[in-house]
Amino acid sequence: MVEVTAVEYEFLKHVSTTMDTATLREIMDRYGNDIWNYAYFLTKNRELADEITQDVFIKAYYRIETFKGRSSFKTWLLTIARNTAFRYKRSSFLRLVRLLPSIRPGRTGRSAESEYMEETYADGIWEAIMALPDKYREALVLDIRYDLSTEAMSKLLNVPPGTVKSRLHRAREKVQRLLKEESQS
Amino acid sequence: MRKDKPAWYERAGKGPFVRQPFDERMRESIERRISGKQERARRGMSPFAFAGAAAALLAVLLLIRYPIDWPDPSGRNGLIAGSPARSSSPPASTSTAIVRAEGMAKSGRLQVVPIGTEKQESLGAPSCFGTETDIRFEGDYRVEYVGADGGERVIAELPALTFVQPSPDKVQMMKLTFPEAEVFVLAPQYADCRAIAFYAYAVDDSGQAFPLRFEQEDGTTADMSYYPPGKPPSVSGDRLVLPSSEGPGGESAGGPRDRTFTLDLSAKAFVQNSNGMPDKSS
Repeated sequence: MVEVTAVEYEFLKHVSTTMDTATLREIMDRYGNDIWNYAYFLTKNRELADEITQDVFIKAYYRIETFKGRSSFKTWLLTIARNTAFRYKRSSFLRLVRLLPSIRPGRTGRSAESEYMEETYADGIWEAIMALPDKYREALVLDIRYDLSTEAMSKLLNVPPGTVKSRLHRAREKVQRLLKEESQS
Repeated sequence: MRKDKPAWYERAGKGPFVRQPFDERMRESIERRISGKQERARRGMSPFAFAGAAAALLAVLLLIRYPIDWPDPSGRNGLIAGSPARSSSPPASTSTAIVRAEGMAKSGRLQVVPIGTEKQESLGAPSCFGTETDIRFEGDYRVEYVGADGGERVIAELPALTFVQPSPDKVQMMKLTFPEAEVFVLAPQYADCRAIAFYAYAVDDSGQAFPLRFEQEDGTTADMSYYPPGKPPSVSGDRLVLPSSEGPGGESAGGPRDRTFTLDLSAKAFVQNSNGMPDKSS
C-alpha cells in the first residue's frame, strides 16, 4: 500500500519530473530535520549526518524523476539516506572522522551556549535510545519519529515484517529496562 | 499518542537534540552545491576541462582525418553499446542506451543498464578511489536478466549509483559458482581505501535470477557487502568467503577473521556464519 497523503499528492504533482530551487527549499523545510535525524540515528555522528543530509537533497533534486510513488516521498528520501549512510560507512571518510573527532569543519567560532544546545539531548531518554544496538535503535526511531507502518519499515530495512515487529519489541523492552534501572539508581 | 505504544514515546517525540539540526546554514550549503554545479554546467568548463576538451576535439579531428581500426582483444568486452565502434575515449557528459555491467550465466545474461541518462566524467585526481584518468559514471540503474529465449526481466533497481572504472568498457561481473546457483558480484567502484562494496545476484539452476541480501551475524540485513581491495570474494566449502578488511589496530580480539556466508536460495540471501569461521567439516 503506497502511503501518499492528499497534501503529499498535491505536492508531488509539481515535482514528479523536474524540481526547481523553490520546490527544493520546500522539501528541505518539510523533511530536512527528519532526514538529518535519521542520518544521525544511523551514524551517531553529527558531521556525517550533515554530509549525508546534503547528499540526500542533492540526489533528490537531480533524481526526482526516479521517484515512482511506490513508497511515500518521505520513505523514498529515507531510503536514499540509508543507502548513502551505508556507503559513507564503507568509505575511509568515516574512519577519518572516528580517528580525528576533534576536527569539526564549519563549526568554528561557536559559543559555549551554542555548543551545549547542539550537543545536548532534548530528553534523557535519548541516552537510552542511542545506546541501543544499531538494528534495534533504527527500528525504534522509525516507529517513534517517523511513524512508518510495519510494511513500510520492512521495505526500507529490507527485512520481513515479522523481523521488524520483533526488533521493535526488543528495542522497547531494552529501553524500558534502562529507564527502570535509571529510576532505581 | 497511540494507545498501543509505550508512554515514554511522548518523551522521545522531540529530539534527539534541543536545537533543530537542519538549519539555514545547511540549506544554503545544499543550494550552493547545486547552484555551483549548474554554474559550472552553464560556464561549460574549467581551464583544465577546456584543455581536455580541446585535446579530445583534436583527437576526434585526427581520427576523422586518419581513421584507425582499434583492436578489440576480447571481442565481447566492447565499448558502449550503440556508440560508434571506433569511439575510444569516454563521452564527456551524458549518454543513454548502454550496458554498464554484465555477467554471463549458463542460462542467460545479467546486465546493468542506466535508467535514462548516465553522467560521465573523469575522476580528475588520483586517490585510493582510482587514478586521475578513471571514469566516474553516475545515474540510476536497473539490473536485468536476459534469458536464453531473449526475454528480459528487471530483477533490481539501483538508484543514485556511482561507478568508478578505469575504462568505459562494460564491467564484467565476477562469477562465483555454488552447487545450485551461479552468483555474480557487482562492484561498481573497483578501488577503495579500505573496502570495496558490492552487490550479489544469483542465477539458479532453473534459470531464475534475483538479488541476494546479506544477513549478517549481528542480526542486521544489507543489500550489499564489502571486501578488502586486492582480496576478492571466493568460494570455499560451498560458502562465500569475504577476507577480513580489518586494518592495523582494528583487529578483533582473536585477530583478523574472514567472514563466511552460506547461500540460502530459498531466503534469497547469504547468511553469515557464526564468528565468521568456517565449519571444520568444510
